[in-house]
Amino acid sequence: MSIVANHLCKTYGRFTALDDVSVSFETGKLVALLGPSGSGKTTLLRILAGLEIPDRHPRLEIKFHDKDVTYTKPGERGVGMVFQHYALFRHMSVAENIAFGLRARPRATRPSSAEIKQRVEKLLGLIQLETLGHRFPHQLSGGQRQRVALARALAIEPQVLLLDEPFGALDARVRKDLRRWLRSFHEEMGITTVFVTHDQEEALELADEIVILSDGRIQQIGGPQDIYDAPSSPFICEFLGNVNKIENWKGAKAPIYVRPHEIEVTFATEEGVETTAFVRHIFAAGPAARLQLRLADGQPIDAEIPRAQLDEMALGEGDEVGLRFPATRHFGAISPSPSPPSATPADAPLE
Amino acid sequence: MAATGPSTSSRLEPRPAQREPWWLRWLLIVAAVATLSLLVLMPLITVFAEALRRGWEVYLAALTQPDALAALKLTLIVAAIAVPVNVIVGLAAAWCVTRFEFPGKSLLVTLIDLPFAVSPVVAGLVYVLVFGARGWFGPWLIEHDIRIIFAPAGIILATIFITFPFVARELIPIMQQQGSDAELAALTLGASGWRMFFKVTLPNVKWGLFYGVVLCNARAMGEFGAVSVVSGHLRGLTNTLPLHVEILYNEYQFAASFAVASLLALLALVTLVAKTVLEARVDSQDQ
Repeated sequence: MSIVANHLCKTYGRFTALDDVSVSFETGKLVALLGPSGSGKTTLLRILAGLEIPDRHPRLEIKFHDKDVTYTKPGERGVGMVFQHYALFRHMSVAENIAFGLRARPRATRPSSAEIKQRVEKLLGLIQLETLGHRFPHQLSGGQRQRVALARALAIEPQVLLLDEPFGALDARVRKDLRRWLRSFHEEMGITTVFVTHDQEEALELADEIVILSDGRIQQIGGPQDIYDAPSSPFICEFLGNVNKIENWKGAKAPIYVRPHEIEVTFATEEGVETTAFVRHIFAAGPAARLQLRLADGQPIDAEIPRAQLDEMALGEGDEVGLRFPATRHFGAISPSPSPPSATPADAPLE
Repeated sequence: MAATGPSTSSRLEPRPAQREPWWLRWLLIVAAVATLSLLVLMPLITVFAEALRRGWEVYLAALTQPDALAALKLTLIVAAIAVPVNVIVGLAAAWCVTRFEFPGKSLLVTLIDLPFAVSPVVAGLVYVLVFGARGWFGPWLIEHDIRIIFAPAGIILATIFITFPFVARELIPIMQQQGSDAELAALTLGASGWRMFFKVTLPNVKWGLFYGVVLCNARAMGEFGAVSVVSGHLRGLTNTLPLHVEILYNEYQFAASFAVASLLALLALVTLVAKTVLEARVDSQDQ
């Protein structure tokens, strides 16, 4: 089911959560709403779910597959919602939780109890908790609870799946496993899915499409790679992945941005070196070595080089190295407003 | 959410820095037990001892006397009306306060606490001023032959006012802490408002609600001040158990007075046990 939402505004008192936001997602996409806290991403999700009513706007509309749902009640939108803190019904067993949506249906469309039982069992299999249907939520781990919440949302056969920080409350390992599971699950089911996250890594890894929000406005929409390679503003550049911000680069007014792995580190004496820096710390635990450097004018800068190169150069703390920036980004004026991705970034070496 | 092991074990085993010398510990324990015995336990025992001093027959006679039975009946009726009213209004108030943002919300929270802050006698007097023969609505009420002051209706009104905070105060923190996500989840799953309330909201707060009801009931049956002002002490008509105890005592019928008082003391004991059991449930519900 495709989603179109136009001119969404939402204010709480004097706080503007959403400032005239319009989005449209194709059927079957896995979309991430990414942004810092207070950026309006959760408000946007809750408006899609029908849990918040957007402020009036002359051209306000929300359509699920051409059906206007702007003022439709949450239960009639055909959405499955998963909350950050699971929001499981604590006094019901796992099986009862999953069956809730089916049992809540009006008598005419409610499946028989045998059918409900069968559906619940199928869903328990899907989330790999076949044997835990009789348990209560407090007897499950965080990852298990989140999967139960997902099964409960899927039981009503939603056309759209909405996830609010689905992995936010889980520890790093479980988060990674669940992320992978959700990705393959989505490929299998093909339900249009929108999830909220403040974790850029999660968005980059999981989503087909990323919507970056900040201060209630959309900053950029695009595929993970497009946004990573061609961020449209300094805000996105700094928000997505690690990046060094270098002021006063060769007298330029605007800072330049360069990602740590895009820096070439050489011996200070080598030819073609653009600047030199001193090594302050070396973090060598991991596939790549991370160097904490300091430029001549005192600005800190991080670089990432392969472990083999580190060993070969035999670098130590206090050594002087040469740097080359084959790829940098710079944004003309300080322009946090969204602009077409192709217009501003310059992926060419600076001369 | 889930209880964590370390916090409970560390609560049982004080760390060395928190350990006092043995004599100080014993001194504090003895002082606490002595104070409690003197102020709480002794009076309780006295009530039963005095009530039974002249034997079972006098005790039972005092309880089965028509005026005592009438007082018991009125007390039960008052509680049977005041408690359900406060359950409904308390739930509504807690719902309002925890689920909606509106101007004047903090004023509402303060008003919920008002009965705790105001002396019960003042509360009773207010009802007399409003509904009494010379009060605001007095003439109109007399014209329509409706009796509120010096009648059971006034006692019920005063009791509802005095016991109003118990249910709401108990529910507000629980509902605040649990948040509304589970309710919203029920709505997205297609539940109607009533279904959400009965299947999600109510089960989530049930132990807290029971706890509030137990306290509310104890106070409704035991309230003296406000009820005393509006009752008029008409024997067999507008006397509740606490008022009856006072009348008997003032007439030097000590054994009878203590016998009736022992009923209230029993109620207190039952309430305490229920409270202890429920407190544990409320705690486990919060986790």
